[in-house]
Amino acid sequence: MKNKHSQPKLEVFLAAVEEDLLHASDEEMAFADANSRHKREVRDIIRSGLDKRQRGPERAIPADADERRQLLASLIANQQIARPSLRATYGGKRRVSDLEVSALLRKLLASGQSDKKKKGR
Amino acid sequence: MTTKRNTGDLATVEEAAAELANMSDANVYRLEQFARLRALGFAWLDWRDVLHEAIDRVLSGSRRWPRSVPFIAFMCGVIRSVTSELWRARSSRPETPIADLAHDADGRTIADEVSDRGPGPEKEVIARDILQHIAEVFEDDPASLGIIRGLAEGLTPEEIQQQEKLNARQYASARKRIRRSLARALREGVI
Repeated sequence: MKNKHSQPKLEVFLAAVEEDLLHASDEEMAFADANSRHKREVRDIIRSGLDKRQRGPERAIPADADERRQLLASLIANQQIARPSLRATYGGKRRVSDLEVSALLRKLLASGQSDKKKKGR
Repeated sequence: MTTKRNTGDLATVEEAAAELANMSDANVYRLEQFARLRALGFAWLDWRDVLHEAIDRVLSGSRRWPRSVPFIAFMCGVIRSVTSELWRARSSRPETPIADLAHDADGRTIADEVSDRGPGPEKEVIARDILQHIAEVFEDDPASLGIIRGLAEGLTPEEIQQQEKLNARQYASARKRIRRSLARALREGVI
């Protein structure tokens, strides 16, 4: 056995699957995606990224990592904004990475927007 | 063509944005699969978060597309680097209350360096669990299972074919089955 650890094995396996997907024919890949819901979801994510880029400085999530952390900390500290489950999970003594901060902010802001929509009805 | 000066052979952000906007259905499918594969093991972070982050990095210009690399392969690399950072961050770093996060966000920490030296116990357990789930998906398909084990060991296709006593055609056919079954398992949340 070349590697006794599972993590490097998983990494090597995932890289091999990615390589395989890259080299598989476009016909097979397009045919494999019979479920248009997933395709739409990916295109929506792309579109939201492109829209955000077009909006430029108006975007709600700060570009600076420190500012994002400060915003998240203040949102989670705010009892009315953060869901109790979110505070319980991420408000404790846990190291949160920059990516996790971005994803949490995105979720918090998205849920805030949907709350606004609900209230507006 | 824009008048913006390119660094080496890197495409502009506008060019990358155009690639994303005009992505083919086949590459959209690949993108989803890459994000799903690399999101494995993160309990609360799903593939959409990973994809959002990768796209943000490309469109903010923090990751630039080298023209010599096919765009979809570049995106695959960005997705991989997003989750690699997470794996590093989730290992043996000192725990920090969220209120203190703003004070230690810069650069790499000593804990980062430590975590790069080898898989931590958490990574090990998660990775073993994922590999086990993948193996269970293929428990009725010994050829596919043998190929998966061979790939995880870093064997070449030729070595795997020899080990599993498969000819080239059987091997290609099993790889296709693996692609399909993995995609289904990922979408159904079996893995």
